[in-house]
Amino acid sequence: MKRWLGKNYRKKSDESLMELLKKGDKSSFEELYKRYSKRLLFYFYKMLWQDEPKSQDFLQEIFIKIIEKPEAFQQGKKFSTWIFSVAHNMCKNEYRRKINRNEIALETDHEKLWYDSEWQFDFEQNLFKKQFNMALEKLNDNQKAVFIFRYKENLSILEIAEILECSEGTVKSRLYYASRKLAELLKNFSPVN
Amino acid sequence: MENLDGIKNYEKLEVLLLKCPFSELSEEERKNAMVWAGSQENFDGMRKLLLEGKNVLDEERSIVPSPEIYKSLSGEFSLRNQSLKGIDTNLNTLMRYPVPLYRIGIAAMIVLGFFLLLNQKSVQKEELDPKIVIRTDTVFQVNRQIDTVYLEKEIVVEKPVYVTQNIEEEEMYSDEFAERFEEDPFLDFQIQKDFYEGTVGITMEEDSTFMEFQAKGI
Repeated sequence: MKRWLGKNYRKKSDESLMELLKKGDKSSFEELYKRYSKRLLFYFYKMLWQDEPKSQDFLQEIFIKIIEKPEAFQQGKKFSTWIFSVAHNMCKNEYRRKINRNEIALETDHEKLWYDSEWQFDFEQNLFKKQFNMALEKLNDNQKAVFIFRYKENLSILEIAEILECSEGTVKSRLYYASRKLAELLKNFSPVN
Repeated sequence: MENLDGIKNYEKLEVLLLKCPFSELSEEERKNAMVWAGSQENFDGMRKLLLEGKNVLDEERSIVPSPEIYKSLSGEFSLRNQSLKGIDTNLNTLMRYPVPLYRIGIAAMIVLGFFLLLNQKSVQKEELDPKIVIRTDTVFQVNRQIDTVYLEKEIVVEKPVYVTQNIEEEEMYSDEFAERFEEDPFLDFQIQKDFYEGTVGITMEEDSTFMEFQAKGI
């Protein structure tokens, strides 16, 4: 019975699962958790300076928000857009908190030192991943967010604009500068053919 | 670095970047790529980044949510929705609980007995209740008119009452007077005579007249 229900839930859209969740349906919550937990965790991990424990905390927090206030999700909206906008706002709040404590400046200085001493290595293909992640950290939070949404979550420009509550032009601009900056930082790699 | 054309046409540039290397683009595409990316070097750098970066992002699956998070969230969800799901859970528990057949039978008989008892009572009650049958019929309405009304009327007429001084008469028949009368029987005759002739006592009118005369000094 449960297996049959499970199969049925897998076919349901995020939005209909959310409507069931509002009525207290636990299976719909399980299904949404399965679909989004890894994606959200990855987003938090990338946005929060690759701090895994913090990302796990944020993941828990975002799902608690869904449990406590499922009515915050308005019918007619796309769930993925809504959940990522909540996640993005949580990250923004964390940035503000860190800026107030001057923690970001210290991290940047630390990274700068690391960059100066180690960035000059000849990049091997197996090191690209590490260097790419470090380059990603060099982007500001908005550029980083649009880059992840576009190339990790494969969201459209319009969807990203909705999540970040800005115009499509702004998203394009951020994507353009993010790509140029990353390309600049990773220019020592020989271009792929 | 400011490249408004590149920004405006980012989606088109992206298509070219992911399509093929700069050298394999058509003439027109190359022109556009040069304008939007700024240079061939930039184009190649961005292409490298998008292809490799996308792969890195896709492959990065090492982080998995902690199982503790799901446990905690599941508990939280159950707690929050306990009131909604309470009835359902109780029914499920009842269904799962192994109950011997004889118990079910006894319970069924008790329920049936109650049902029959209640049903019988309701039948008796129905019999005792007076039946009210409403019928439509013709009603004659009699309108009696009042012809004569007799009203009792009390008329009070004030009459002047003149009190005469008869006290003396009474006194005449007192014990003292009786003694005197016994001694002198003519006294009674004289008194009666005076009384009838009106020489004894005066009326109120006479008295007032007398008073008037006195006032005038007559």
